[in-house]
Amino acid sequence: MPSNEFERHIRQKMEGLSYPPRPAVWSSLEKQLKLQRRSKAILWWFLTGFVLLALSSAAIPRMFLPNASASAAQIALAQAIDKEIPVSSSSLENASFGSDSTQDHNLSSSSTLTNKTTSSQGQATLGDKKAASGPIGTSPATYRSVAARSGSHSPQAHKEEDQPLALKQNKHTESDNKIQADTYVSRLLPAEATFSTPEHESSLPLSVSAKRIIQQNRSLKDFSLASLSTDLLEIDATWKEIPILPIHNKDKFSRWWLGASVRTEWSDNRTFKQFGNGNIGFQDITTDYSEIEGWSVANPFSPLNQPTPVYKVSFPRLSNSIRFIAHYDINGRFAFQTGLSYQRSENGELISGLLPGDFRPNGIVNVSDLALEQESSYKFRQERLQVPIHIQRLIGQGKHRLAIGAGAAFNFNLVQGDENIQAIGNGAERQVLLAYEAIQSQLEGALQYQYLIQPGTKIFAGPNYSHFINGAFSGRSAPEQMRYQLGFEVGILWKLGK
Amino acid sequence: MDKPLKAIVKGCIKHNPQSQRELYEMFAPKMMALCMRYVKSASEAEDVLQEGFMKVYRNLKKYKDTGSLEGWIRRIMVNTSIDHIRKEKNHSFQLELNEEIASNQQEHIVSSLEAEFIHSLIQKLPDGYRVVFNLYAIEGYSHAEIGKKLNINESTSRSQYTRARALLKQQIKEAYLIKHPYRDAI
Repeated sequence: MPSNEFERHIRQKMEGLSYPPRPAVWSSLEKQLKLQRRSKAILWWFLTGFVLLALSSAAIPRMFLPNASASAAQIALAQAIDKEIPVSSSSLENASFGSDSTQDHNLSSSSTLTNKTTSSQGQATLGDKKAASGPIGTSPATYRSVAARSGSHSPQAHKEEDQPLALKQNKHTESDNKIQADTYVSRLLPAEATFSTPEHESSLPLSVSAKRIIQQNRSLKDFSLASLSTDLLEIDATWKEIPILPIHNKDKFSRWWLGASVRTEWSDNRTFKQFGNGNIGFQDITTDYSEIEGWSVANPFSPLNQPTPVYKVSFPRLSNSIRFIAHYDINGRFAFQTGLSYQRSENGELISGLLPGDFRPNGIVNVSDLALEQESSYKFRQERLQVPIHIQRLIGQGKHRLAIGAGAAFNFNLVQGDENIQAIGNGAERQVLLAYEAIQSQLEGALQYQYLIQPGTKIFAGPNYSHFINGAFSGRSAPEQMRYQLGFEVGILWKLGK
Repeated sequence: MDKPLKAIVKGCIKHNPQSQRELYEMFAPKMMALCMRYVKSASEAEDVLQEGFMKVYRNLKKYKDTGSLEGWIRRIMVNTSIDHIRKEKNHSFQLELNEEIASNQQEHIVSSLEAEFIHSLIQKLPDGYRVVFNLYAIEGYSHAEIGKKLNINESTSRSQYTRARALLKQQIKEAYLIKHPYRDAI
């Protein structure tokens, strides 16, 4: 151990010494910590979800069919209906729906009871399978309690009001075709799992869904309550009113339109993160959007190599995209729109500079030796495939209509860059960047004026606004994501079918 | 350990961002100075500091309340710095004396032998000298421990240290004479 005066003196001096690091160090560290927390959270999310799903698959049928037993005849009947094969009358007569059966309830058989209707006499008939399942998109996991609805056959049938929601008796009679009400539950989970990290709280009941479906004058009302909440997504409730249409009726198809539109978008400026960390630097971006960003000169001999003030002049960006649209008038008051749009932006050479000391463009290349001169160039291109989903409220009739829409869009981005770093004394280095941003979400609102120019063809025009949810599933940070985008869209829609 | 620090450590173990920030603000300046003594530039020191703090946050649950937290963090930073130098050089430490090192020291204008100045002189020592000097004179490791850490002989560590010490003394002396031209040498 050092013990003489010289070492003691040095040690004393050094122990009291401190250099505050640049604020950027904490920002970068914070990002890393966040990423770490998020990865953990996502892992837990999936694990919890998996466990809950597994548990629910086993628990749900037991919950809602506590006394119901499926006899062999019942199962045969259910399977027969599922396969749409004729069922012999003897097997129907033998079908026992009573709760007094002691036979164990078969979990798989309860799932096969989906989509069945029964008559008021408790005799099973092949009902309108489509009415029960097709248009509303009932999931295969959805089931209806046939056993409970046929309670009149059971000496121990529960009173309707005593029964759980899922077990309420169907009021439908064959003579009352106009009104058919049924309530059923799909995937109702008894519990909610909540987990939290200091910055992240998510509840995970997965898909809790209660549906009340009323068939009246060929329309279905479907109320779904679903709660799925994470820091990325929150869904609470949905209300749907969907007309039922005969499956072979061409009217169904005439509600669809296909079209195309052109959007011109005006967004906030885009800056490049972590691009350039030298003492002297300058970058100039002048391509499809204009931006000048740079670093002013600081003292290159500063022992701390302090960052220098940033000045920036930026201009809005203008870009165009082409969108192919599928438009569906749900019932004259609401419409559903989705589509696919493609957009590509590119800029050219970006940087040249004299950079003494360290220069770390983008944190990817680190030329740390004392290079006296460096040259960099960077080409950047972003390709975006977008899937927008909109619900529109349609106002007005006849030739003129106004559509107020809201929805979301999911962007699949491909970012490509090309860097060429040269440093005297260090040879040359070249790096090619390629990254996918799996999903970048945006919330959208749009106002459209629609004009029917001839039967089956309408044109539309109107402004739209997109608010970007930055960082969602984004794997890299080369271009800073846009925060918002204002656009104007003009398009045409052709009706399909007659 | 006083109570607030205990609470901060507890918070960090629970990944509380506020506590993580408080811990960083409490120790980052000192640790930055430490890292700068081991690596050549401030930006490298920042990289090491960042990596070191990630290790601190990851391993804080392993920290026993028996020793000083600062000492524990110091050790992590020292090890991270050494790893960094090893990675950068991809090898063994440069053990020869670089004669050119001392040649331009007189270009520095110093007002006095302040800690910052001595720090800058240490920073300018050749890699091998610098690391051995830091470990021995400042961190208090023995030559045997240094030999083990750097994978060199104990005698090599000893000789490196002697040379580093002589070089540093020489530089300090020169600086002192520049500042006080009419005084005798120290």
